[in-house]
Amino acid sequence: MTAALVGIYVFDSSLRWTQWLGVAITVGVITFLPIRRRRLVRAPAREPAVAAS
Amino acid sequence: MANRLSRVPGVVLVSIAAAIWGLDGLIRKPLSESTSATTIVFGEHVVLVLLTLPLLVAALRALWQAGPRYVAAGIAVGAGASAIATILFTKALFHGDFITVVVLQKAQPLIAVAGAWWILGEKPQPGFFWFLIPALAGIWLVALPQPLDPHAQGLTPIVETLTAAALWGMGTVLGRYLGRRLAFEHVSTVRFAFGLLASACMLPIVGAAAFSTWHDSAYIALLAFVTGFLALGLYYYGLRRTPAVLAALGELASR
Repeated sequence: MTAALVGIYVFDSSLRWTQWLGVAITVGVITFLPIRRRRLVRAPAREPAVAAS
Repeated sequence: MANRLSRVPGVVLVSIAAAIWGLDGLIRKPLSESTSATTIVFGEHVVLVLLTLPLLVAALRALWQAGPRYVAAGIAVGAGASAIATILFTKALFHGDFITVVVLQKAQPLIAVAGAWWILGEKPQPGFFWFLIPALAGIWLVALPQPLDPHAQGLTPIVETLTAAALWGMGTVLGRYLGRRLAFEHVSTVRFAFGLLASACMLPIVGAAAFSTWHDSAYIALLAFVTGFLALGLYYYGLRRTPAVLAALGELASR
């Protein structure tokens, strides 16, 4: 999202209302991601790092 | 510092890192007017390898000890995601229109989710798609001023963008795979080392100069330090504790 916003800034454009809506949706999703992260995916157990063993 | 970071959820660190490297357009765009994409990518990797040089021998030894699959993953992450994908994406921006590139780049998280399922055995639960679909919709709305009128033009930029998206998506998956057996700083070091070799090979192929002017080189060094060294270090630290399918969503903070 920052890349898109930087692109808009570099090209000296202003945001349409749909783009502001997109910013709000994306920020909302990424904000809630840490809260629900354990219920969203079932991942196999991690192996220990070689450097730590 | 490391103790404090260890209390932060990995996906938050991935999102912060992604937001930092999304800022690179501020420097990359002005540079692109005087220096070629391949020269910029090569210069970034020279700086990144110099910064991680003290770790290089230990990182390569750890990679070798982890086995041939990890060596192949290290080469794919370094050469593919770090060097070739960046060059292809930048070239696509030159060859095609902005909308084509932005639309097709949205395939990246889908490739990462499929790759994580296939290679890492990560199984997204039904609730995951309630995050994936709104996140893709949100990025679509941000990137496209006319969201109901997308279009793709020209075979060359389409192939370049889709290849870059596939390499970046698989870079997330294979980075997570490397993190199973390698320390996060070793993953970054391996990525930069193979990225330097690949970008050096690309220089004669595309006929680009190895170095730019002193002025541009200073900006390339700044780009490498902030969006490469700091952001990728944080990214791989977070990725070790984050399933790749969630990291793919966190990375949307950068797009």
